[in-house]
Amino acid sequence: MPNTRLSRDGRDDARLVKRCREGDAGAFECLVRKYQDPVYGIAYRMVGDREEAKDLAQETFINAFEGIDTFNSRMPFRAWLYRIGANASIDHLRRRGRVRDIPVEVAAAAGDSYGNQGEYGVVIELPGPETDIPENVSVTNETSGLVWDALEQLPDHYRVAIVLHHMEGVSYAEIGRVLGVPRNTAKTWGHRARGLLCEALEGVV
Amino acid sequence: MMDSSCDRAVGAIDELGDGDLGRVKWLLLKRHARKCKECAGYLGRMETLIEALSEFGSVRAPEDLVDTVMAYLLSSVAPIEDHLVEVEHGRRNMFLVVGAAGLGVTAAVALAIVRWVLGRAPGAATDGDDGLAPIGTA
Repeated sequence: MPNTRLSRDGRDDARLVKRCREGDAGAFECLVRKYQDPVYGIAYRMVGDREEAKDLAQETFINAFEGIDTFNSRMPFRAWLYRIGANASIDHLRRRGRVRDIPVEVAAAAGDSYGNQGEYGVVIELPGPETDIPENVSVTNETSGLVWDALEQLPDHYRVAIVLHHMEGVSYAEIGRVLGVPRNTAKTWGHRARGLLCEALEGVV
Repeated sequence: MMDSSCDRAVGAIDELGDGDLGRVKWLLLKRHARKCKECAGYLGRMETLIEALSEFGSVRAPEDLVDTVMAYLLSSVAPIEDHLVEVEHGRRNMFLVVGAAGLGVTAAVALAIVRWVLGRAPGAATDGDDGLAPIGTA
């Protein structure tokens, strides 16, 4: 029975989960379609490689399907799914020895590209060699690389907090559910992570 | 030199990072930052960091992700579905048997009622008499 304390969106998810448990594959497909972007996004921001992120997103959904009977419907499905995704990324990084790739657009922004359209339609406007280079643009490009380097050095749970809050727009209360800690702990991790990232920018900004 | 107003400013900068900073606190922070180089530096780095993080933004999943996941799941759960189909067939056969038995019982009861009603009709044979004349007495 759907929990009335869940948001409307959460109750919709709970209904889909109920149908999944009854063997309705179409209901699970609805959930995959709904959450494919954030689940893939979390994996990509954690590991920095599109192919690996795709594999991790697949692994996340498959694990979710296989464990759907263990899902507690009082918890938002989204948080449960993100937890599976975050854990998959963390495990993957540990197996890989904590070496992360720098996402393509960050490498391009920090490197020698002269501007192109990214795979997802994000236009990276970098000036050509003969163009007058506005100072703020070059600082922004350098900053992107620095921020990613600094993100790589963060403890896993700090990095998850930053990715979820700043890139996926997840509240600290929900980050707490994802990471299995109280909201205030998640918030503290977010603050400490930003503090460390700001330290990395000292001397640049 | 950090003082209590710097502590408040640092707290406000953290709130800015969380996206929770109200307008009044923002104005007070800006006023403080004009007088304090350390806090101005921290504020500048935080604003740059937030901008950099938001520029990374959300990404879109590959177009074939859903199909790949569902194809994998459907192929791996096919045996389960086959089992469910067998169960469904068995259940249907059981309904047919029960239905046929029910029909038989109903028909038998109806026949018994008809016989009983005919047996009570005027001029009908009594017990042990089937109403037919003995052979050779016609």
